[in-house]
Amino acid sequence: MSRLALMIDLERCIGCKSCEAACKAEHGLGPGERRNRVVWLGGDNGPTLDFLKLACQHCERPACLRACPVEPKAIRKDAETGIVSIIEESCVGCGECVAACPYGAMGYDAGGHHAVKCDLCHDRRAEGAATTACASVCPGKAITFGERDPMLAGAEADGRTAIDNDPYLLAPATIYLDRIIRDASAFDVFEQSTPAVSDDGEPDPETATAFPFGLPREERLADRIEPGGCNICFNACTTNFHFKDDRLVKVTGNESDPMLEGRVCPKSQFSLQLYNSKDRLTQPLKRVGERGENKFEPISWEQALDEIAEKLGAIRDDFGPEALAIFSGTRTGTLTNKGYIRLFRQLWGTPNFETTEPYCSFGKNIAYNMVQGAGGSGNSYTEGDMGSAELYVYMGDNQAETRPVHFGMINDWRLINRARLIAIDPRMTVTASKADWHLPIRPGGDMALSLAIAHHIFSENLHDAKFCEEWVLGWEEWRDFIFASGYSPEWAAPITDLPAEDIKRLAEEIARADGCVIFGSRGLNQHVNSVQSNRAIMFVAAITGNWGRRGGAYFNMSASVPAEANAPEGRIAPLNKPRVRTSPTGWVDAMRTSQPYALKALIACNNPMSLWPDQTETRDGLNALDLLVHIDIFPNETSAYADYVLPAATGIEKGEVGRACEDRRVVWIDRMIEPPGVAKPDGWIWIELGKRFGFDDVLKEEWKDSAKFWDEAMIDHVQMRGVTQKRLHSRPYRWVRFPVATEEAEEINTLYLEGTTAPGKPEGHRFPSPSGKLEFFTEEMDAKFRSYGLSALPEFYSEGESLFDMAHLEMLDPDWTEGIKSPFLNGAAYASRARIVDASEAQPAANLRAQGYDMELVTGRAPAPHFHSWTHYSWQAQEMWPDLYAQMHPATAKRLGIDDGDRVTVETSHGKADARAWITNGIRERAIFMPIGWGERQPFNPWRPVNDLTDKHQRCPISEQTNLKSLLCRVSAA
Amino acid sequence: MTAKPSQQGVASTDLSNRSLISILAGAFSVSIFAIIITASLSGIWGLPGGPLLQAAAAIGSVCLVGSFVAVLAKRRGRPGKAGFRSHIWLASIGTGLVLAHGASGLLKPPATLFVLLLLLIGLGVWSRLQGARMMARTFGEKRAGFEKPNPAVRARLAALIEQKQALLAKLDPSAHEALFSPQFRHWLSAPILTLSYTKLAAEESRIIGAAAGLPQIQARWRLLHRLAALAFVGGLLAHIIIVMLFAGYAADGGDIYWLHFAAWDF
Repeated sequence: MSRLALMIDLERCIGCKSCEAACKAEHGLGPGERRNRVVWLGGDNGPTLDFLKLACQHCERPACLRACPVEPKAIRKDAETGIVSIIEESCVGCGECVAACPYGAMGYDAGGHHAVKCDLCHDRRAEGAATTACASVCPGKAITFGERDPMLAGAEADGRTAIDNDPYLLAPATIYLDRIIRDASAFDVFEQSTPAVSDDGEPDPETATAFPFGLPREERLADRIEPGGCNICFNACTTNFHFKDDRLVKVTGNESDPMLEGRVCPKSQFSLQLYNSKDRLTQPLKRVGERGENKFEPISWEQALDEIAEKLGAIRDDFGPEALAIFSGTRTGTLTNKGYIRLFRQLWGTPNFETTEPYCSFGKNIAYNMVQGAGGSGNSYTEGDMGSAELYVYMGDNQAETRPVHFGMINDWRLINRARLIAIDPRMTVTASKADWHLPIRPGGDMALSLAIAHHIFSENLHDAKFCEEWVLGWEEWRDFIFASGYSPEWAAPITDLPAEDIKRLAEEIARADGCVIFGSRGLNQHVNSVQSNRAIMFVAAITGNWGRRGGAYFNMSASVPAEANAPEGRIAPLNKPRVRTSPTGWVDAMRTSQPYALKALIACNNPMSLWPDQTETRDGLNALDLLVHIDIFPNETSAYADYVLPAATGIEKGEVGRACEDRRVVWIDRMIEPPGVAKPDGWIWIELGKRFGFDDVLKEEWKDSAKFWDEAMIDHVQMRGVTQKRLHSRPYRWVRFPVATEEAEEINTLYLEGTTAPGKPEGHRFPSPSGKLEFFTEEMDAKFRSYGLSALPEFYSEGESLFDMAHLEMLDPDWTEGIKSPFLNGAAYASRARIVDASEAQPAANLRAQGYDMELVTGRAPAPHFHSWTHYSWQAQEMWPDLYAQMHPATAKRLGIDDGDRVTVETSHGKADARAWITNGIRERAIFMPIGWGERQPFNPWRPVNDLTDKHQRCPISEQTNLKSLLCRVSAA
Repeated sequence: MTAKPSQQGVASTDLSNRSLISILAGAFSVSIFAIIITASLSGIWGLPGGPLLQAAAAIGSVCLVGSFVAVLAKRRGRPGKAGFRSHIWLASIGTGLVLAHGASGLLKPPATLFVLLLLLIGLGVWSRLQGARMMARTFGEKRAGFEKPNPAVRARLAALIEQKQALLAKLDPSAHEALFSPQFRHWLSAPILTLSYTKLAAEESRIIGAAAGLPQIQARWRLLHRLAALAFVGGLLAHIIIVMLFAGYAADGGDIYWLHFAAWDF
């Protein structure tokens, strides 16, 4: 055997740190103990972002070995494979090797007092594994393990260049393939610095870790592996759950999945820490102190449910069934949201149920339904589909950090096919760092950009005329409207802060590419123009023929899974009133003022006291409730205020489907373990609560078995009937891609291809819209928009809080009024009318700017190891990204006298929050970025939530998505 | 040779930080208690050279030397983690005993040994509680290996390696320069060659920047600890020799009331 090594592709590495998670899980390493690390490096001289996956270089002349003072040495080198390994029981812990290694690749166990290091997974491979733990999970396919010389030869044959990482003649084995897009100069770590906020956590090893970290390998070796999935994000990764004596010891990717092939992000692996966490809620609790005091007494389930039922009954008697609101979402899971809770509320008779959709993606859902007739893209992450595009355009979608495994596939196809990638984002995100071209757009400029792209395409006659003629309804009206409105690149340039020439070039690239996938996400959705912004860019995809084809799409995740349970017609309670507002944020006034009608009780299956925008008003509203019940897996801000806290189960503790996947894969997760303490699955809780109101004829006892509930209640839909437990379990990777009308029906990778009929639609209807075409404009659609005071042809407006005066929206009906009944929800919710205020009129932003609010705040997701608050209970995520941060440009930091890592205060006109400064060239000079997910009652690194800064009044009138992407703020050293 | 794999995830048989603090706190408490008791003793029983406290000093010295030997044994890989536990226990007991022995003479010259002892304890405790964390945090922080190669540095290193190889051919012909560092037997058999080799190795480390980028205390603590230990052992031996053989000098005109072998003066 020749020399073994890792080959790390810097072009493919996305800094997600999945390899770190895998390494720690494989080797039982605790906090601070590292065999590898992904170092984030930001350009000091320009907006660049690199990631250095660091592990032992297995040098031919290992400095660590020579520095070891122990006789015989505690570090050895295998003459055959070149692997440098440590004998931990001989190591005296002096740290000489740590100091000697110029790569900083020697780890140290500060608890056990000895050095630790990568040995290329010797034990793992001795047990039969083909590769190292880090390589097996890498979402970006950036890590390859094998014989050094053939790997290097192969890479060079592909035209790749290895960096020279041997300045000291140590002859390292590890190969680093340099970036492809780098200008001439090779990778040099000294031109880049690491943000102070990364890898800055130091959870206490003695209190932070839980089973099975630190145990001997033989006590962590699985005797049983069960396939399932991760229930955290939309990547819906398939995972394997490893058990030793019926205890979960490890979570890895599922290598039998033909699509993901075992690749997972760190979050899936952290779920081990979630299942074994000491911080979990384990017992029903009843408040005994004042709200917010966090004082409770443990009570039985019987008592908790009886008392809750009694109070709910009284509220229903006094105020009507609609006085109960239910909020669920991310944590709760599809099966609960669209199954158990849906049935409960149908039987109860309240319209006031919502998930986190109005904060995440409701705007694009409505837009998809308007344009296409069904939610979500019909494309898939397959080689023949998304993998065949010539151009990938990311617009307000930082996929590399939000769905790293899917981005890894896209990036891989980009490199293999020599495709181009363009990122449009105010920040140099990880996604943007891989782009051939990054356009740092002004926050809130996306709709203007889309309109201008379309203007240029039409002006230059670059549109796909045949596709437009045959498959687009109302495209000419739109073209004429754009021309009449003057939405040219020159018009958009000052709004977007992008040169008109760049906008034209972008339009031409999109139009000329043989297959362009335009990704959009929260960067488009979380604006007051959410629906219109999505429609505008959808129209661009459509007029360029990038719809209903392989390698061409508008892709705004996720696909809406048409799985839902419905009570029998005669058992559905009539709804007396429309929902107060579509967004739960719009419920707050009803809680406080009982207008337009009273909301007196809230069952929150999530954490509104962190995630609802405008925390000041949110907390006022929740405090005014007669009854607040909180169902969750961890205690948090909401539970501290709740009257009752009910401990829930999650993932393999209850059995469920993964999150709504981007490309229509439904991943099933079996129930495999018991929840901690007396915690219960959500389904159990709703069925038991339902019994107290006589709902058990519908919410049946046997449906506590989630698998049975899925088959019997959830998939009675033409697209879902084939997604049965039998079919899901027939596959070792447990997923089926819908639509499949029967168990035998073939899965379809790309929907809406020419010559096909949309599933469940009349013959010849290529798309599921009423006309069978993509619909830009119809009279009926326009009438709906007109009832809001808007037009079906997307007229430009954006945020009121901006450094640039542009047309913005004024809401006419406050939340405490009825407003209008939303025609887009068939009158099921009250909504506000709106007025577009022209840029030439008085601007509220001018007043704010005069008060010193001179920066534009963008909120969004933290790096890949985090997902909302889920990961803030995992010590390993806290080690990687412990603190809430505020990204700012060096010029801003210099002006304010702020150093990297300093504590700063960010203030909007709605509130203020502290964070640590992350100074980076990779952000617009007048922008501040702060991530979501932190809360003040989290166990490791509590911070006030970023929603202290947001505003509940700035919402898209149609979807009620809140503006979370453009708020004027000011920053100061704390 | 096939390298032995890492014994990963071995449940630590090392002394935990909590245990270390407990032992030291215990030793400190016992020492204070012993000092108070001995201060209350009358006559020869309360004197440092009296039968009780001289015996304490003797046992304490043996313990402290034993602690020193335990470290050397640990360096030889024997008896593994037990070496460190022995080091701590013996040092704690020894410190308590010699403190009891010398508490009444804290302003006299031998008390400088207490200063060295406190320095040793301080550095040792720091290395376990803070130094270990600093070493863990070093991972990924030293990145000299990824800087652009400097041809001049490479040429200097190539020359050094050549010199090392030439020396090694004489010092230990069977050894391989890439994996070699001088051991105790080399110092015994060929001290001049070993010293020359060590100088070359130190020069190479300096060029590579082994200590560069590390906090000074992390880079130097071990050297300091070793120097203090050597100074302490040397001082201890000198003290024993003086009181046992040069009792007259130690008495400085006073009574020689302790057990001694000779009363030479100088």
